[in-house]
Amino acid sequence: MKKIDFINELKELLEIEGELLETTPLHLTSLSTLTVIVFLDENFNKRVKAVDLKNVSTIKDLINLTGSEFLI
Amino acid sequence: MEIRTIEYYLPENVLSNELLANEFPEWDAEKINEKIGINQRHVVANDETALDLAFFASEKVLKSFDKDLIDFILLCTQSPDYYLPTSACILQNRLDLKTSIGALDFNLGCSGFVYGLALAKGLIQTRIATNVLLVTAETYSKHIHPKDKANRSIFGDGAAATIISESAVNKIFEFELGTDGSGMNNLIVHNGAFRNKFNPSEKETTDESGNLSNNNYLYMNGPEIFNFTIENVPALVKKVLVRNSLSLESIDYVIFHQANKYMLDYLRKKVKIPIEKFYQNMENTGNTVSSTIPIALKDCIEKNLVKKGDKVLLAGFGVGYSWGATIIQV
Repeated sequence: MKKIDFINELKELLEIEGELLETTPLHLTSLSTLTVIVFLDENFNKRVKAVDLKNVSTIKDLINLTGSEFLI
Repeated sequence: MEIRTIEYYLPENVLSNELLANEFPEWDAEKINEKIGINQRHVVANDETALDLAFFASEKVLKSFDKDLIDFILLCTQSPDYYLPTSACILQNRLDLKTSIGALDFNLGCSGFVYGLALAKGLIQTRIATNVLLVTAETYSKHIHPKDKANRSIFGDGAAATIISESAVNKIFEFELGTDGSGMNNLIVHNGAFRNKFNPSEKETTDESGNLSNNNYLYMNGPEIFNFTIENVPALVKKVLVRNSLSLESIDYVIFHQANKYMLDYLRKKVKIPIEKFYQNMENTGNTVSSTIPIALKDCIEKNLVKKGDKVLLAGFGVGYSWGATIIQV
């Protein structure tokens, strides 16, 4: 998946208004954490632990968690 | 053996999304309903317990079945009236069943109905019993902190009573069961039993969504429970089909534990179950833990979604972790 598509899909799924940059602060509630878990499993077959998602504060953190090998 | 009849009972008090929204103004009722698929849930009164719900559900089921024929009670609950005696023994007396019967409680949550069927099958197959009254009764509302809006939104109280009897043709097929206690801390009431006593001065904590709780109350790590289901439920379905030498195509209907809409939507997609074969209805009951499957099964039969002769795959999964699946013929 292209990095830009990754960001745009998350923007839609997490219902984020305004521009979403890699550095935009991200606050994941329990519901949005579930959304991210499903997104990563569905698209990358990637399982992430809830505790790792707790440390996510920007899209860049999520990109790092997903693994650069999945994104171009 | 076969399932002869099912009835369920929900307590009178209804906690609607509107009532929750009044209590928690920041709570977006519509959005939550869209995600979890729950509009209202029933909750017990202060002086009402799981055993009371078990009694009312059993009374209902025994209207159409001779109570003198019951020779075993299996009661699944995580909200017993007492540490001792066993709730199933008290239920025997309250229902005025004969004393020459067996009765026991077992402590499981969302997998409880499937495990109850497995136990009932074993009892009947070994000629220990001929007609088992399997009761699932739960009041998670009593375990949840009043300011924990997330868990109050998800869980509802209720009980179901099912009669499993011997029959000429076996209609309860093979089981696939699983356990992984390493997940214990992801769905737990830490305090109140013997490892950690109830602590009236326990410190309150707030999660990232503003839910208040403390160790005297139920804690659920929703995302980790979700991970557990993604990891185990698709495999569980595959294994129970293999064990029964059946394919998903040969199954007429699938009933999963009704955890929440979001989880079920994703699991259905992941397991590739056609939507028309998959039951989802927790709108008016919430997640009633061990009773969701019998409630759903009863509703499916009443709505004619499941017809006589249909093969139905049942799968329960949750607290423990514990999971189980079987296939029944209606």
